[in-house]
Amino acid sequence: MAQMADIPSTAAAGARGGPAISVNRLKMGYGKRVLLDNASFDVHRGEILVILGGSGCGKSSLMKNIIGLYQPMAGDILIDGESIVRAGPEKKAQLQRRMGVMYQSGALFGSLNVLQNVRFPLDEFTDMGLAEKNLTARMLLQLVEMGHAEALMPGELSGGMQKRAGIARAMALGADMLMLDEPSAGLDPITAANLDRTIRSLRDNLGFTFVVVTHELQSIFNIADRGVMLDPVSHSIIAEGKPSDLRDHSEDPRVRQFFNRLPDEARQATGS
Amino acid sequence: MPVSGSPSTGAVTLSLEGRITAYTVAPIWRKALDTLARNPDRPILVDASRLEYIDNTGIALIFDLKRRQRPPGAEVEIHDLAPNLAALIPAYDAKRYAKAYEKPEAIGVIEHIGWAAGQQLTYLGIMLGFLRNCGTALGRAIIGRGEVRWSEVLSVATEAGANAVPIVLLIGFLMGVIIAFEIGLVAQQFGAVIFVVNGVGVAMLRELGPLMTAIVFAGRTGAAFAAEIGTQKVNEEVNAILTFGLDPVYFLVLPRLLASMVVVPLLAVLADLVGLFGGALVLVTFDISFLQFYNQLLGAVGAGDLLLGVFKASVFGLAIAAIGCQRGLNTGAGATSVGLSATSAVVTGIVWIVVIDGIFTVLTS
Repeated sequence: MAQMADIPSTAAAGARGGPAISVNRLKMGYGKRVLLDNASFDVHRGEILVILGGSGCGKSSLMKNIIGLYQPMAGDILIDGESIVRAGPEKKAQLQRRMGVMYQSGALFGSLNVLQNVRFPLDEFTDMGLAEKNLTARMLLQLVEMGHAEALMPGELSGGMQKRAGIARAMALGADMLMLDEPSAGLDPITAANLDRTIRSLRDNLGFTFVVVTHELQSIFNIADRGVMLDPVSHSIIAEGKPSDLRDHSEDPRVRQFFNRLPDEARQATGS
Repeated sequence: MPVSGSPSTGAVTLSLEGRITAYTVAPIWRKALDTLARNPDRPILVDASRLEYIDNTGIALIFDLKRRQRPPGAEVEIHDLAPNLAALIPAYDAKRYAKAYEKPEAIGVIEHIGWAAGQQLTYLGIMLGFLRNCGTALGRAIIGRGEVRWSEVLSVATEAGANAVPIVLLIGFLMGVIIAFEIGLVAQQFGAVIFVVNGVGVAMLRELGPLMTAIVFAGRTGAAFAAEIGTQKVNEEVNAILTFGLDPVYFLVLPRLLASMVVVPLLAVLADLVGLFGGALVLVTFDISFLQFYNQLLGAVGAGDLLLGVFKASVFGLAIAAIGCQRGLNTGAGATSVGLSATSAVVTGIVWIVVIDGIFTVLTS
């Protein structure tokens, strides 16, 4: 039943040079509608990069382009130096398994309990015995502070628990890059802070590379090493850098408005 | 709402008085617009000094009056509006507000036909691609070269098959009873009641057993497949499967195809058996004993009839499962899309059952 996949270990992947992810002159959108054009940026190994911007600017779509779910209109995306855009189905699947993904809703399989969800990638891609798989899954659940909930079904979990279980599942196959779509959206401040702490701890202790899509300001300042800000009007990246620097020193009024949480009138009043 | 004209300035004054709420605004609004229409070249003064209270609809009324394009010298002016209400009006951007109500550009009939044809061609391409993927996965599974999630196949077969037995037995039995009774009444007039056995046998084994089972299966299981997979799509579970590098066709569709191919023929055989029993039961009332029924049936139908029905049922099962899964994978966003997918799976499934049945009838007659 299980199939052995070509899954490079975290250590092996980390030993390679160059950026973990490289987005080059990317143009993406839906049908004829362009969301982002000529976008280029790198994600360095072991960093937490946040894709940020207002609602509808294409943050989640950009993430889905990076993980190979959507085909860009133009440009290229390199995962560890290999193009996921031009990859054939097998190579693409191989690259996708390098990236653990947590979707906005957690996307846990409704028919499996929490432990089975986290074990799922191991069931599918490894020849490990059941006891070993359970042990690994329980360890991952402990890591995201979900050890107590392994027997629960997804429908019985709170939003924050679903997201943490989603992160545990994303890590199960030894992915060294984790993509998180709105991890703290809709969570209460304490749960969101705990999740932020978990993300930082995973990066600090295990060296994961994170790409996080969010527009939660507090979360951005808590976790991000660097941010890439998208603009829905110009369909481009308008800022890139450390969030606190962007907030304090950016000359772009759109960036200052976002980081200082100002309404449109205030931005107009500041002379933009 | 009093309306008065000023002879000195030529202005028309509209007085807004008392409370304007959602329940009282309609006639005031109509009268205000009527006044504007009757006086296209005169300035309109809206006197709000005696206004006690307005809700959102009242604000919308004032906003509507202000945003009207009027010639110079005939503008609408609002006077003596309470400052707190006046502050709300500029919050609405007249240009954006008007843009939201722009009608979509109308397209001609020919253009519409072309657009619809394009949509259908796109859909046909998607469907053909899906069928090709299903065919490949199924072919690999049948020759033993592809992986099959047998636990999932068993689980689907239990839900779609074992749990459907009671309804299939009921429908099959009633079909046998109805057919025997209807044909029996006619045959009785010609003294040919014994040949009703032939009719019931051929009808149940070749047509009604597989057909009625397939229709029940489409309504019960085809819709369930579409709803299950559609919900998984909406919850991004399908995306999660894709990003694990798994193929949803192998993971979600193949188990359902295999289970349906096996289960529908089995259910059809059950429907055949209870249908024949129902027919035999009715014919007892026409003085045909069970033994006579049995002997006549052996002469009327053969293994070929049964096998044809079984094979047909298998193809029906395959078609229903493929349609249900495709509709599920094609689900858009939101709960409504899941409902639409389930409905579409049933309707398309039944249409294709009839089409396939017609093809079989032509090929085997």
